[in-house]
Amino acid sequence: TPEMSRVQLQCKNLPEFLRGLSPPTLDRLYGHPATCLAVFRELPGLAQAGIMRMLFLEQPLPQAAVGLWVKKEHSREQQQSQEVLLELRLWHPHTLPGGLPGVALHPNFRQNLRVALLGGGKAWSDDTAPLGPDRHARDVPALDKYAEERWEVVLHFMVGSPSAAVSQDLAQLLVQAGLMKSPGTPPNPPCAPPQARGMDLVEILSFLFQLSFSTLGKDYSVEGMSESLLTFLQHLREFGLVFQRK
Amino acid sequence: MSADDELSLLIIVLDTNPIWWGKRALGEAEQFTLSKCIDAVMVLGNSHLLMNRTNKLAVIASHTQESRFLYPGKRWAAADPFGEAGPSMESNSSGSKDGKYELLTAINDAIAEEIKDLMTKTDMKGQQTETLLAGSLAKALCYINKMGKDLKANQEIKSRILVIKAAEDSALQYMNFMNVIFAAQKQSILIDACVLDSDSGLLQQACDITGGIYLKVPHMPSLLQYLLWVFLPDQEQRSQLVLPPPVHVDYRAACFCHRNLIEIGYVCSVCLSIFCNFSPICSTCETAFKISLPPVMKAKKKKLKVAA
Repeated sequence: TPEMSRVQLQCKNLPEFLRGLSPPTLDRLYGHPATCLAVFRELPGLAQAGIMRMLFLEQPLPQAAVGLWVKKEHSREQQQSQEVLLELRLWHPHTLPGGLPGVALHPNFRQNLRVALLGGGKAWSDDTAPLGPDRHARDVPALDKYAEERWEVVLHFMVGSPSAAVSQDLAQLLVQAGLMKSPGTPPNPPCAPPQARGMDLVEILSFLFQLSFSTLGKDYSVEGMSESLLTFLQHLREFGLVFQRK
Repeated sequence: MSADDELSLLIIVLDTNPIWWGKRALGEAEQFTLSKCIDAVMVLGNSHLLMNRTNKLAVIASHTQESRFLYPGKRWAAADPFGEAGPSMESNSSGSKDGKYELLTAINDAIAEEIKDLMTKTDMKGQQTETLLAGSLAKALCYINKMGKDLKANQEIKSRILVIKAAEDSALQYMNFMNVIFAAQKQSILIDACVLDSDSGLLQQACDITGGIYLKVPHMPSLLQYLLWVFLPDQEQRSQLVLPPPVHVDYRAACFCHRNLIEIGYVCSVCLSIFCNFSPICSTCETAFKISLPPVMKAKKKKLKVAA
């Protein structure tokens, strides 16, 4: 008999997920302020303090100086936070002129976190002012209701309720993510990466992070979004996470 | 406790004394203007909000004529762009024109509007030259109290107040100031002080009593770096970081009659008011003190007990 291996869903938190990405992908990922903001928030307190101290320095800091930041009795926490920063490539060793060991912030991360904090750079999405006021604007309770309704449909679909219908695309997505099984097929290994679906991981993640910093009830423009991003937007719409106005 | 259950509130009280700032603008070669100071304050505020989704911020301008909330100010409350009631039509189209996180853009713009209004439209009445710091701190405490009431069931709030001090201490405010400090201490609210010019005895006491950090900035144009290195870390991070040590505190009280600092004085036994000179009536509680002379010795015949 074929071995029925239990498919385990790996739920990673953000830092774990990021650690699994290749360095070039991470470098690109840090190219958007929203991503840098999201990653920064997930860091432990000491790591955040370390980044804020280095954010406005123009030169790398000597490792010895960094070593003086934390009290001796907390050197273990400092060690842990430095490890996190290294693993996420947020900072890296950098030899100072003169040969002393130093540390420097990831240049993309530094630049874009500064942009998120201070301004400058490109807007995250286009201004919706030229589109005029929304005559059919939904208020927060209406949006909440919409989200609940959509979510109910997805859940009903997942438990096999015949009346619940979602798009082909979303059904496939649920199967590929390992959240559902197509009857008669063996269990898939979890999570076919979006690249397999012709989508750009960095683009999608950046958009997802942007979304997480958006304001409930506010309008955002979809002007200039790529095909794959618009498809992703449809998935989010089906899950009830966004509401799209015609 | 997860990060969502513990809110960290930072209130920045900025000394905007127009006389002090005005004199500075006329003087120094290295122009450290109120504008630059506000920039640094905004970056500190933005950084605090960046650290955690549940972090909260308020900024109060301490002026000679009033104490005013720069954020959340009157205009902010009126526009209510991110309020529970939902966005208004107009504010729906406003957002960052650049890469700044839109919440920060909204807050920074609001602060800029309020401070411009405060500094340009305030009538300078009377002889007031001193910063109304005690009043500003009292307003901060009231705000903290209000925020504490709005919490959900399992939430807690940790608050601290950072005072950025420019002008000299006001002796007239001594009593109110001390009351504010003790109230803060009772509520476990830290008072930090970042002093730009002359040392402040009152703030040294405030920091000492509440457990905050006192720092006199050695180089004003580098203000932002000091704010980020010393005052941005929250209580938990402070316990782990190496930070400026406590300063020697001048604990002399000010007499209630002249507001002079004295080392030895007279204390009313009823209301504990302090005076530098003796007075038969306490000017605060109007208790009259009877001055008793030493008792007159009457010759008494002492009965001797004879041991049985």
